[in-house]
Amino acid sequence: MDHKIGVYIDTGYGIGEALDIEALMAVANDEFNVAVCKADSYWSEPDKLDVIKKDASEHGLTAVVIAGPSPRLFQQEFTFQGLITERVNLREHVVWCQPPNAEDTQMLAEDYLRMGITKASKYEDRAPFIEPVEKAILVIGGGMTGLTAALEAAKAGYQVYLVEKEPHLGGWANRFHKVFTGKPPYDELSDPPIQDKIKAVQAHDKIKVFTGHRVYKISGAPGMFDVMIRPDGPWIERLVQKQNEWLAAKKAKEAQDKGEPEPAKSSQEEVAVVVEEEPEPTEFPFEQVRVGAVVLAAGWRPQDASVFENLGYGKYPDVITNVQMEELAAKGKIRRPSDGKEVSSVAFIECLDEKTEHPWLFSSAVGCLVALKQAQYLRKSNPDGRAYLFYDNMRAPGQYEKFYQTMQDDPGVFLSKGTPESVSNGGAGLDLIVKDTLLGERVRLNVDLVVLSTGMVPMTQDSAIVNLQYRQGPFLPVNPYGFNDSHFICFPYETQRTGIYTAGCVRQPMDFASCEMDATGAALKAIQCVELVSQGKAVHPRAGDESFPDIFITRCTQCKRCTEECPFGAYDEKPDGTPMPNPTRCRRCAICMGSCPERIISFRDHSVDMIGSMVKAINVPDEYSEKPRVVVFICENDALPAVDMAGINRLQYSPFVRFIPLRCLGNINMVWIADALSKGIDGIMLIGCKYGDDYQCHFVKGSELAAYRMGKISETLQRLALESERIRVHQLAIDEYMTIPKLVDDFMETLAQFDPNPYKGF
Amino acid sequence: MPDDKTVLVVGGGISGITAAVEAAEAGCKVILVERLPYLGGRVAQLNKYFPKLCPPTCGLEINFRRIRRNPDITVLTLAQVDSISGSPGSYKVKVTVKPRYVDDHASTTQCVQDCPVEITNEFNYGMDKTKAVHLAYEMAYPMKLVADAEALNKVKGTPAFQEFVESCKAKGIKIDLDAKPQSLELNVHSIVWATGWKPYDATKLDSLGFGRCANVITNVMMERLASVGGPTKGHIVRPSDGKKVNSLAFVQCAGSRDRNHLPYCSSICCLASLKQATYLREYNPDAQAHIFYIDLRAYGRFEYFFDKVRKDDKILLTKGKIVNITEDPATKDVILEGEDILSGTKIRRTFDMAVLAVGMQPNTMEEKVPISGVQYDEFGFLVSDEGIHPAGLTRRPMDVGTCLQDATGAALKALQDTLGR
Amino acid sequence: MSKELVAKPDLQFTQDLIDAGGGDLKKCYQCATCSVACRIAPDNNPFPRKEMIWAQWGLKDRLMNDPDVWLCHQCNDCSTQCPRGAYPGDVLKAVRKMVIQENSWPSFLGKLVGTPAMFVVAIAIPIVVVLAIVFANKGFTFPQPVKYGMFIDYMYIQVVFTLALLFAVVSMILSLKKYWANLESNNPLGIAGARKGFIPSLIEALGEILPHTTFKDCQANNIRYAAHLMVFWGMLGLLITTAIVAFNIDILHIAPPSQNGPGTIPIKILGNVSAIAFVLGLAIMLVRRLTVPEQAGGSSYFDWFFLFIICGTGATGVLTELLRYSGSPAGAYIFYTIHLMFVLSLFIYLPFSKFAHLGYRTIAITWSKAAGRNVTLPVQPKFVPAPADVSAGEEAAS
Repeated sequence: MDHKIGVYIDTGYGIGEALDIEALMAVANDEFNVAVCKADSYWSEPDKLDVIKKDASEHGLTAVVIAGPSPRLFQQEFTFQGLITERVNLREHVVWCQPPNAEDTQMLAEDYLRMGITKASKYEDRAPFIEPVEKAILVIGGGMTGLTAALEAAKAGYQVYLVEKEPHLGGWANRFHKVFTGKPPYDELSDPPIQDKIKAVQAHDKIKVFTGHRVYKISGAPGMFDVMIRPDGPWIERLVQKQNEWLAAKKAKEAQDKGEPEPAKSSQEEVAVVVEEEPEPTEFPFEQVRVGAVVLAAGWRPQDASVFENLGYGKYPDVITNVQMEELAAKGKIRRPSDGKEVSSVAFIECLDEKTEHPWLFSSAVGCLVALKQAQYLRKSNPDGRAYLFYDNMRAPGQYEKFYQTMQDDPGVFLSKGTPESVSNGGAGLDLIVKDTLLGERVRLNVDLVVLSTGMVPMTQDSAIVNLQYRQGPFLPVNPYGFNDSHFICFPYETQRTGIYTAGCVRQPMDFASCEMDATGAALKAIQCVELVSQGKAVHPRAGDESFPDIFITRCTQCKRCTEECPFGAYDEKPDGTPMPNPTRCRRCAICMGSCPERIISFRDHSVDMIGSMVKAINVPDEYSEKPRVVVFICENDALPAVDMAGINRLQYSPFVRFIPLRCLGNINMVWIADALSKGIDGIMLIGCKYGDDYQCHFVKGSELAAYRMGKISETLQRLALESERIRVHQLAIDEYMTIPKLVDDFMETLAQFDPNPYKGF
Repeated sequence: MPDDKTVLVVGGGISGITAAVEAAEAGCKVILVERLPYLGGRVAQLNKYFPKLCPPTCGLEINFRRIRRNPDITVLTLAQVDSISGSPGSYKVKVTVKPRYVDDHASTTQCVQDCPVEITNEFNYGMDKTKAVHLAYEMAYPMKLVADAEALNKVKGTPAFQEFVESCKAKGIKIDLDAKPQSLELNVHSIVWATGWKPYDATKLDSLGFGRCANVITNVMMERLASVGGPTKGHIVRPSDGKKVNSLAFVQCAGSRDRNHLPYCSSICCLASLKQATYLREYNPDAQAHIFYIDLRAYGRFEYFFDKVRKDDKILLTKGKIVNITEDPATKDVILEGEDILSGTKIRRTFDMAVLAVGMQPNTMEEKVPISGVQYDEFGFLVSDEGIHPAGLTRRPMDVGTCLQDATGAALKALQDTLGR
Repeated sequence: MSKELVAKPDLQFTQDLIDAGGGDLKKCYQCATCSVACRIAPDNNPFPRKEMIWAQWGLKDRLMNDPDVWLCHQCNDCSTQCPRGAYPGDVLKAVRKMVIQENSWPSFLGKLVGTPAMFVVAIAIPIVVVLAIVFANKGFTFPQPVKYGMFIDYMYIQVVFTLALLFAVVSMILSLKKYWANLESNNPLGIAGARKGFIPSLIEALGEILPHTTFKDCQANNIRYAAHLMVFWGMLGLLITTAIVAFNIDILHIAPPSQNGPGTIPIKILGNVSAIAFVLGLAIMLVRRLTVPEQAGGSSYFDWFFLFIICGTGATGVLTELLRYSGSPAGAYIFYTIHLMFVLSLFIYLPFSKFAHLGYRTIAITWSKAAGRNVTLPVQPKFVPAPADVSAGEEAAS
């Protein structure tokens, strides 16, 4: 659609003094003949805003371009009902980083204005994606976490379906003897508070419980997930086997693809949709529910203790894990597994994680506390009993220090740092040798029982559980630490599958108190999700964004890149191989838009054409002018604020660069590179977030994908007979703004070694 | 009666911000009250987060964007809650909002340089000075200057000051030292309390030399020292002589797990010191860091981080608490005394600089919620979950990620209150 | 440290320590603040951190043979700085009591003195003996003017008290021999036997003990230094006085000071000065114990028993003399009797009461000197990277 555009140039902030405002207005009026163009200071002031509103109605404006301070300011002020607002940053990106009243500064400002007006003129009018959505919430797992999540969501008025594989609710809490209260005075244990929770859940009219059931499959998208719940049975083994095959195939493929130019071609269709081709009876009992969001609280299992053979596990029946100890204690008097003799001495061995190289290092999240707790079991069960605790670091964080002190005071509890050396048969009991103790030497003990602290393995390690019917497979992707979340510091609930939130020990080991806290948070995220999608809005991190990807499908070549590269698995695949978008799964990062070689994916306010046109709007002086031009595509989340910071700090750098913000660097489309180069742009820089294990990209792998794509740009350059050094990719953290001038100027120096781009003026 | 679904969040640190945006994105109207002129609280003063070693401003920026975009969130800075009455579902809250004393149409930082008065920079824990009219820190939200009226009133009337005021006016910046605080009365359904923490006062640790020895600093100061926005622009150098630090000691449990100071464990100091050791190693690859601890408490997935850090052979770990720190008057080097417990020998070792890993003290220890019936534990952490909902450090010592989970949970509790019972 | 410890915690022993004043020993979490706070602990295997965990683990033989517990002079720096309130100072004191009991010969007397329940028996013994002497003479008849020689014939006193003293000395020596042997054979410090001879070590030790130099180092409360110095020398002075007097009477057949003139003035002076120092020192200790327990450390029965006897001796001694001049015969003679009782208990309980510390501490210090225990390690220099790097460092810093 063609827009009636009003341009408002702010002369405040020193802009008026540093630029030729008349000339700037001339650009708007003459080159774009916009409906209105005004210059004044501080447009964010109420009276000035009224002027804009008045113009809008008088001239029937559809879009306004505000050329002034950074778009990171006055977002609310410059939001007008029914008007598109485009912001041009003349402050941080021009006058604060360039010498005033210089020719190049003026050209920079004019280019930004051109780009801004061009962008505004490319906005499309498209209604948000609103479909009737189901607001019910599915909770997977009936342990402490799942029960809490269900209860809290129901309390907020949402229908909840709770699925538990065991015949009873309660999970581990049922099997544990005692738990920490997590309440002052912090020095007591209580019975697991699980029974009341179970009752409350069973009594709640908004919660429907399926015990002895598992999730057979989940298809659809946030607001419209279709969940098939099936009674537990042998089918699960077959399913898990399929999943593992699928995973193996995927891994093999990835390994094989290493170094290949093409992204992983899917060898996965045949297994991707596991359930469809499983040799199952077509008729089997199941329940089908539709939900808007999912809370995954599948919990944990103890790590396989066979890694502790060296400490006699498996060899001696009286060497057990702390989980087995809970079960022993729950039976009343603590008796030796070997001969049923009442136990009078126990050695607890902690912090094994720090000594053995095994995949699950997490025992000590709670291990030391559990040992202290179990020491009390022994002392209560047998007042003459002796509990020996060997740890590397006694981990009793926060107020748990109080419980540690309480157990220290018990005369029958003996604590020391120490590294277990060996466990052997010591006649009456087991002979344990511990070295590096605080007693000054290696210690030999004869005990009835040795309890090893084992790690907590998230259930998602063993199977997908959610069994998603997604193009990208049934699993919830894991982060480098093996857990199902993406930004576990800043946005702990975000997974790579929109609308599915993990809680409790499935994400990281934690005590019951933390599980309850965590479950409540996950419940809120689920509620948020259903509420936002019901309004056609995106969830985190672009919460509230009403745009969504639109595909001009007739031009699709079934290359599958969008379906493979979407970090959130938003695309499924139609039988004809074309992508099947699920807008409510979409996080609006526009990585798909970057991935599409046919350039047919677009958002109403962000499209290949829009950015391409912005590039083309840049005025490129001829090759003799000695005024090179560089386009820098930057991530709007971190790099853009960083460039603002550079401005606020008045850092000066080359006036020949033009920054173009993208939703994510993964949003970069090759065609823009080609457009830029063929227009005579001398060099192109991409600045995105850090990637790798500790990635900072808000869309998980956007910046990584961008780098990957640029790795393959060389042939394009060769076709144009241009040096590959003309393109450079950088990783920049938001706080590294001080380095921006160096990044830019270094690149300019590199370009200075080459002739100007020969395509200038074509 | 409050209008639809209104939640008051007290405290604009990471927990408060999170509670506010999460509640708002779930459909609540939120009023976020912060005592300081900016949001971000303590995390804004951090250089990097463990275990990813990524800058806090990255996450803060996204949250600020969520706030900017969301018309349902009202942010009140320089505001303090005076009194609360009522019960879950309907509270009356009296709030006082202090003036900024300067209106600059959003951070035209130009004028700051001209300001004739300097004050100690609290944001950098007093390690340097800042202008009496300043932007709290580069990424401050809201991006607005604030003036220290007290300091400026001292020079009021002097020509230098008048000149400054004029030059500001010329740039469209109004300075008004006579601005009056305004009081508001809010009606809300529910309240989240996230007033956060403060570092334990290291001057109370007599034997550890803070205040006596120029090169003994605290862990929070170390964050500023390593930060590009800090007093040294990120150069890790000695306060005494600005020389690059080559040997740095970390003193764990400085006042923590100590009945004479903070009896509990702040649960993050060990990880913070491991992290800060990496600051030094990255800034100065030749340098050596030495951590003295009682128990090195890296829990859960943070063990990966612990594992990674301890592989560095220039980061030494010694079990044994540091008891005395003295200063070599000539070199200003610090001499630490402790026992290397495993070898059973006393240590007296010299370092360029020492960092005291002080614990986190909940602000609710001294400033209680101004309404009766709220329960606190013996350390000052807020217990009661009914009515006033604690979030983050107000509940217990925790790392940032956990604060966010806690705050998100608090948001749901608040949402439930808005539904009326 | 390559030794192997077969750990069989002796819960009873731990309990005994707790009863003997080490009530908070379980609170220790091994941060080693105490070892560093202590100004007299050697730099290798410093105390009391290791003693604390041995106590927690009920490792009796460890502590019974640990000379370090005697190096401690109870300044309580460790206790005041302990972050957990485990009071290491009191724990070491409790250990010392156990050591005295453990090595005492005959052992039943150790128990007798150590157990509150036996207090009556403990004081009954000297009372009976002294009363016996009184009645063996003329009973409670009060001849004028007050001459104690007329009340009880010196013969009795000499015989009984000499025997008592003899017994005390013999038993003390036997106990100490046993203790020395333990230190030599199975001290827990991994130090194999003495390297220096006994006599030179002893002389070195005395050079430290007589002027109370180690006491001075305990800054937490250096008034204790003065007090203990006074008591120590006061008592020594009185001992000398008594010895000389006895010598005069028996060998030179000179009448006791009370009966003759100027010739013996110096003895009188010595006696009185010593007595004053002794009493004054005691008074200070007593007051501190009652007023500043935090610094003085907790007080157990074992402490009080010793204080009771020693103060009793001092007080009654003074009264005896004063009353003699005041010329109230009854009072004088009665207090004289009580004084004798106290002095007797002082003698016979010497090896079993806290009094024995003068023996054990001397031996332990001697052993430590012999074993070269008092090590002081140098201050370690700071880490400095290779020169090239440093210069690089400087400019980056500027």
